[in-house]
Amino acid sequence: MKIKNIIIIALATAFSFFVSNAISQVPVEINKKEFKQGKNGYKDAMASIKYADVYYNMGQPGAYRMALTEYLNAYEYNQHYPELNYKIGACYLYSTQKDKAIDFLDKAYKAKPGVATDIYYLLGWANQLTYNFDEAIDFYRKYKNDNPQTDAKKKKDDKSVTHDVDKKINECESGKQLVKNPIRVFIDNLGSTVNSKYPDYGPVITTDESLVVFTSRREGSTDGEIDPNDMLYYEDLYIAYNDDKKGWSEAINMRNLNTEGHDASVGLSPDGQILYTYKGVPDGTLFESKLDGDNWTKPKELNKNVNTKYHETSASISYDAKFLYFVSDREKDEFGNSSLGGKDIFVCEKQKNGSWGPAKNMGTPINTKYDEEGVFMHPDGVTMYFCSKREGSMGGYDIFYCENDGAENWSEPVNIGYPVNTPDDDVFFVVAGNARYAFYSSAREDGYGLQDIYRITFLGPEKMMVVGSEDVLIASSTATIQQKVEQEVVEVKKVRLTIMKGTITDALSEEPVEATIEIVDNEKNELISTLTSNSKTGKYLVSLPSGKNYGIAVKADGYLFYSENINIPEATAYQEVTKDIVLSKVGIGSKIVLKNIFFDYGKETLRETSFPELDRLVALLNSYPDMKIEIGGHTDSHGGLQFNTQLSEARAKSVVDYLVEKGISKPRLSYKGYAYLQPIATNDTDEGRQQNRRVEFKVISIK
Amino acid sequence: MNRKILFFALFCLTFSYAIAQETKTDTSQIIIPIKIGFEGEAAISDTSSTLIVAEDQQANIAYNDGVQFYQQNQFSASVQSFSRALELNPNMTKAYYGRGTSYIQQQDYQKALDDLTKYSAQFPNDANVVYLKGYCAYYLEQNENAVTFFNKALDLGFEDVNMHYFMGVMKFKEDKFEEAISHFNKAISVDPNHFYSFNDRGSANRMLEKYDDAIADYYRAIEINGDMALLYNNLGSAKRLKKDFDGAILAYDKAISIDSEYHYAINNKAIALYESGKYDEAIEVFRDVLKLKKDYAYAYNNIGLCYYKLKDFESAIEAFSTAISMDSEYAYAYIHRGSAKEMLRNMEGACEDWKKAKELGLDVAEEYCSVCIEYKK
Repeated sequence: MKIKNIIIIALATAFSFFVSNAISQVPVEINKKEFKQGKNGYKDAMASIKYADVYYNMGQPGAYRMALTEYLNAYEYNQHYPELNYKIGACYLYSTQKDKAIDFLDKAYKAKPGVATDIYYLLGWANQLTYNFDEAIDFYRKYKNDNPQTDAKKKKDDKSVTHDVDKKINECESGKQLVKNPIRVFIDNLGSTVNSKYPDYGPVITTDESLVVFTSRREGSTDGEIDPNDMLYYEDLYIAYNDDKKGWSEAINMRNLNTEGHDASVGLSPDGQILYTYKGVPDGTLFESKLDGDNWTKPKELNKNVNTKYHETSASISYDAKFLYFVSDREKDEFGNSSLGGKDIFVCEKQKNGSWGPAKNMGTPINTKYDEEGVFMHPDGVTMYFCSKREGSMGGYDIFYCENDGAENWSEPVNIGYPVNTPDDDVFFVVAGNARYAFYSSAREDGYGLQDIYRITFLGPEKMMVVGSEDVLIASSTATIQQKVEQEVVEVKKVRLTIMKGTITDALSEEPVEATIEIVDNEKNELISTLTSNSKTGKYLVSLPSGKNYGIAVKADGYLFYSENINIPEATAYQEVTKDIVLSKVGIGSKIVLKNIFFDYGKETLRETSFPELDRLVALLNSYPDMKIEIGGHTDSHGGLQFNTQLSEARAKSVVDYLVEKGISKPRLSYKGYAYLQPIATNDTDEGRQQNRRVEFKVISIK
Repeated sequence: MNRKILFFALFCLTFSYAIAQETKTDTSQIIIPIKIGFEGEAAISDTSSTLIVAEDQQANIAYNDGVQFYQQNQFSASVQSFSRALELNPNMTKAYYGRGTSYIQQQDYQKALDDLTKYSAQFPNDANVVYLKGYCAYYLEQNENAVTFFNKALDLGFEDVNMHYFMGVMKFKEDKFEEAISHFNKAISVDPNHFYSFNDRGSANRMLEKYDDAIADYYRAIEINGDMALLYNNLGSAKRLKKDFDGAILAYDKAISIDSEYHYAINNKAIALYESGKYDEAIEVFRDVLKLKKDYAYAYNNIGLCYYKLKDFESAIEAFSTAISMDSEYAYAYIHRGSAKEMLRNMEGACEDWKKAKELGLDVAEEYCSVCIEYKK
């Protein structure tokens, strides 16, 4: 079952309670006299209605679409028939043209107020969807007055909240507030190279927006079969690439991932190397596929901690690949915590063996008694975006976000606002690393058909608008005085994240290298994450939230490792750093700078933050037992030669001492202090001097 | 508003025997005439009966001439006569007083202060002279000195509505509005019809965002003197700031009916239309301002804001650009033009404008600039 259906059916199932009751009470009483075209008109209309009723009674979204076509045929013969208008309106409520429902329902109601027992409810819903919140509230209240059992039912069975009229009224109240205070955004269609006349939805992106993977029901799907449930092609995964100059490429069918059934995209790692997909069979299951070169590995079902007999529908991996957030409708987590109701967001932590550990319900304030869906964890490691039907939604699922304080406390979720959220379901929403852009799918007038993929640009709050006004406030003066303007601080959500990306290549051949990238928190001496560059392109991308001193080590078999130190203070705003890395093969004379070696100021004492780097060197030496190396100490040009020579030599010796302490045999190691005699950068700038203050190791011999 | 009418009103209302003066139009301050009398310093009429030596007699004659010229409002001549008296008799202290007051009438306050200081060296407790020194210091914008002199005059028992009023104005200019109100209250207690104090107290209340109090004060000032466009304009602005746009427009219209060239009121009326969402009407009225004052950057900026609200960003940019061409340091116009460019997806241009606004001292622009790096594609 496709993921979109999961969401729509959730709505449909509960709604069908009303509709099915209504249907049984609202037979389409065909009155021959009302058909002006005479016998033939009556006959044709009757045939269409009977055919349509079969679909209509199925109570499935796709079936409503089929029913609608037939009802519209009958409508050609008689446009004033209340029951027909009612059913057309009801069908439209399940289409992507929901705004059309209201005219038909209104017509039905005006012609025959008692056309159906749920006419008030449907009119409320239709008005809500078209932003007529006050009218919607009136109709919902009328429905409630006519159906007092609703409240009783609510008390008896709390699951009925989905259809709680009070909830719908609350949604309308929220809608009024949200529409009154819209957020400023540009919403741009990704264009015809990506979107089609068929439903395109579920976009997932790399954090630098270099590509989008999405789900499409377009022609050309695997096996070309049509789902009889909704008469649309089966879902397939598509990918499109973004070029700064050329824009979005033609979407490409991801043939090796797609199957005969539905294949839907639900999550992508920030570097685009791991794709999470969803299949409806056997019972709503999440899969993982990795990019190996330019091929995606066969989707592998996530382990039993993630997938259960219940439905698991969306997933998002944290920037450090340590946590997997996903949605499930399971009743309890593996820690015994009960679900808060419907679908909730869960989290699994990666175990030492690389598998996902037991799932934990994220609890309040993220989860509610209502459904949560479409989880997306931003690569800043702080912000979670998700969809929810919670209080504060303006209708169905709305997109919310909340933030983590670093101690597993989550802030109260905030509705992201109108016009991103609408009274309809707003489900799939992913945000670029800079948080300035987001992607989602929507059915809009400027689209290519049904649902399309859109890119949202957040403009932030309205900039200040100050009128030029002056008054002569002091009567004994001609001088004018301007009213003081408070320079209100415009709250711009700042992402404190550094994206480091580039390619890793061989120093001699310049060919891409598949390398392991280890990211270490130097202060905590803790491995944050391990990523891999693409074997085909050598490309890599790492997300580094601000507030840490990062040691980055790039390792590949047969190569000396490369190290980089990036200190990102807490206040550092979003930045993208491109760093192409060249790896040197292990060989005599090859050398590298150890960039994560730190000494006390003016001394040779190694700081603890140096140990991860030194341990990597130990590992390298253990891998090449015959390798002999020289540790070279270097300084900048400040101070005299004698002092710098002594200091650089003492520091090189400290490194050697550490290696010996770690079991490396002393004869394999030599050291030398070069003072400032071998600079690699200018000594005229702070940055240059920093580069010159370094420790290198050089391969002296190897068998 | 017509400044001459204001001056005449002040003259008649406050000082029936005030000595006439020549107004200067190139200063931002309107000179409030002061009471300077010679009751205690009558001219020396019988020079022959005195035993004064010849030079002293000449000095007395010159002094008497000075007094006569002064009384005839011939202040240049009175200055000459008092100066002659002092040349002949440097110890004739009262001639310093005469010349000092003549300088006041000529609005040469520094020279006046110098002479009055010499006079008060001998008569330090002459409260009137202490007050006059405060008056001079006030117009010389030596606020600290002015306050010292005024307070001393008060200690000496001198009472004058303007003294309290001036102290209120000084506090107003220092943005000490509560203190200003306290002084205006004293002025009003001395003269319950001092409309200057009512207006200025209203303005102080306005600055404190006490719009109801401000409106009440402006109404009282209008009650006392209903022919001043300034008062209606200020009333309108207080109402506008209170979001009573209809009331504001009525007051502005009244100001315009009194003085059809009072462009402040026309501009403010248009702002009231803008703030009540009547952007098209506002544009028309802003254009009326430009008919009177074609290089009024504010009006162009405001027209730009209207176009912005109407989502006609090209026209908005054109109007903001005109405002900037008239005032290259109009920081808000840069902010606004940048915002209009942002809406047209011209982020490079927007960021340039915000950067310029930041250079001009608008700190808030820094926040806008911070996102510039994040815009791409």
